[in-house]
Amino acid sequence: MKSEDDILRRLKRRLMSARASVMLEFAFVVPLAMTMFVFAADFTRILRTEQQLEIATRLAADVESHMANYYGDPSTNKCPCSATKNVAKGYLVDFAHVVKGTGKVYIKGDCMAVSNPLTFVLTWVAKTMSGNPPGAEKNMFLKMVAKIFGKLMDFITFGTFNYLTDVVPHDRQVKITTAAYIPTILPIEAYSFFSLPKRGGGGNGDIGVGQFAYDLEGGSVTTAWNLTVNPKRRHRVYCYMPVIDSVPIAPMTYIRVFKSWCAKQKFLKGLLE
Amino acid sequence: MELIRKMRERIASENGSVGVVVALVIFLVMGMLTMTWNTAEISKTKMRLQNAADSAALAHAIWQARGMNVVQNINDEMYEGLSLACRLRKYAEGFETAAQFAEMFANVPYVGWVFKGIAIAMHVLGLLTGGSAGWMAARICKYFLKIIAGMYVYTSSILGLWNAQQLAAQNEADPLARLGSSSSLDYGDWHFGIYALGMSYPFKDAFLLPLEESGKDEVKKEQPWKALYKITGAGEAWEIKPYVSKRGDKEGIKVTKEKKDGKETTKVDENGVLPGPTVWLSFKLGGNIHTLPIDGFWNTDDSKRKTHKIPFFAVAAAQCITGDVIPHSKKTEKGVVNQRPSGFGAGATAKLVPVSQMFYSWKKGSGYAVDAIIYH
Repeated sequence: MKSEDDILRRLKRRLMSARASVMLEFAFVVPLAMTMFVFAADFTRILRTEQQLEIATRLAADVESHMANYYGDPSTNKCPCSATKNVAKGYLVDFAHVVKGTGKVYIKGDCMAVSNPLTFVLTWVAKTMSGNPPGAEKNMFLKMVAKIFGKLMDFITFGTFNYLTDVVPHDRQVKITTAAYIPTILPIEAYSFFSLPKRGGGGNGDIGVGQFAYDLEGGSVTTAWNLTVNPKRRHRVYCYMPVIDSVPIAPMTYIRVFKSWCAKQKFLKGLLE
Repeated sequence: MELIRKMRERIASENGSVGVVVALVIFLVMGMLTMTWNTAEISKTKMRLQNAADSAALAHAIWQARGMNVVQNINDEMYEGLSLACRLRKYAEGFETAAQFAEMFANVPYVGWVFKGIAIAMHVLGLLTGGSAGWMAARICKYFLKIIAGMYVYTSSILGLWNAQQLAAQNEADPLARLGSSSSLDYGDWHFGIYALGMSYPFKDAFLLPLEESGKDEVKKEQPWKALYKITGAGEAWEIKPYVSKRGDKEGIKVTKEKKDGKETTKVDENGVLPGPTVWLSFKLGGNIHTLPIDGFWNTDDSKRKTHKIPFFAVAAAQCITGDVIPHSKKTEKGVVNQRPSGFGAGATAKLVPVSQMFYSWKKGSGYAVDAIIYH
């Protein structure tokens, strides 16, 4: 039976020995080093994924801004999405290898009408001028007056007024959204203290930076993070681009109508020669 | 003394030295991680700034292109209208001659009233075809052109600016003019976001007939009604100048091809009438780039996060480009060059162009801007 003094003495000797201090330091350092390593690995993955998503989103938005005009479906406001899928996904899978590293990537392309007070007003004017005044569908007299007014304006401006009221309501833009789940070695909550404050708000309790924009679809100002309900889609990036117009067809104006009518009449044919 | 000796011994001994080194390394690694994070944040911010600037510039240029298409349509319409008026005037001259001829027999007994009636009818027809049509065409041209000018210069620019602001806002920027609902952005503690500022040179002189009634002598000479008198009165071949560029005395864009050292080079005249480049600058000031201080690893209090005070800038330039920038030049039977700008501005569309090229274009003049666009 060893006495207490003996135990204390042996412990003190062990602690004072070089071998013991190395073991103790090792015991301290290993978890710290491991944490740092895991930390660095997660950091790299988070930052890289975010950056690659930004690039892919912009790339797809550029393509869609050209393609949506020709292949988009204005009735459903949907992008053809072939460009989005092929370009963005191709970039992320084949070039950046983000998908392999991060699991599922969510890519979506929307082609939507530009919505601002001016387009709202001009859309209203366009509807009214074509004889369908909003809110007065059943008032035949008002419809007739509106249509006559529209025709008169069209006549005065040689169809240019119509051009304006036609183009503005059909002004469209594309929105490409990509989102990716970023797998981390440590639980994702471990990075919550890196969450950046929402503009005008507090931390959002998630990693990375949520984008802020006017949510035109919902008609209110929200943050992208609030829209992201699926916890697997941790990071979400989007990019808006205007849809580049195709060549608009010249409106058939009264001079052209008159000239084509003259051309059909035998006795007036010489007028145009 | 004993205490000092013990301290010296402890410092000199190797025991515990690893702990000190680890503490230092942890501090350095944390610092490096912070720097990495901050660099990534700045990089992402720059990318978003560029997105905002690009989309704004492109949106603005798209509206300029639409304006160009309007101008092209209107020029065509003007040409059709004026040529019709010209033809009608010719017919009116015929009716007038017939009326004068009929008036010669107006005093013939018994049948004189018939000739009188014919003369009146001819006068009426002459008035309807030549006088009224010419008068109307002149008025329509004059006022119509003004409407179009207003529409293009103001409406198109406003719509372009508006759209550009909105797109910049959607790409995580704060618009200068807040559209619609109020946002949740907090301006109380001086938070600025990405702002987009744009500028462009709208053009006014690409119309078939000049718009301004005052200004340079060339413009004064070419008032619409006077030009119409030229056509209808003289009965000569087409004499209207397509437009008078206010940037110089020359007309329109002239593209000449020269052969130099066996290579064909294209020289574009400096009097371009395409709208100038639309350049958008987006910048970020104040508290939106949240960088982490080293103590950010321990501190989760958002209010203590540091923010960049250095503004970040992104510049983007876009340009309206056209499918046909060269006015058609056809010689008529009489050898007069018909400079009808048919197709001018046809198929105008917008394109992002390198900013460096745009600065170069500014330096050299608008004609070189056209050059840069065509051969971009």
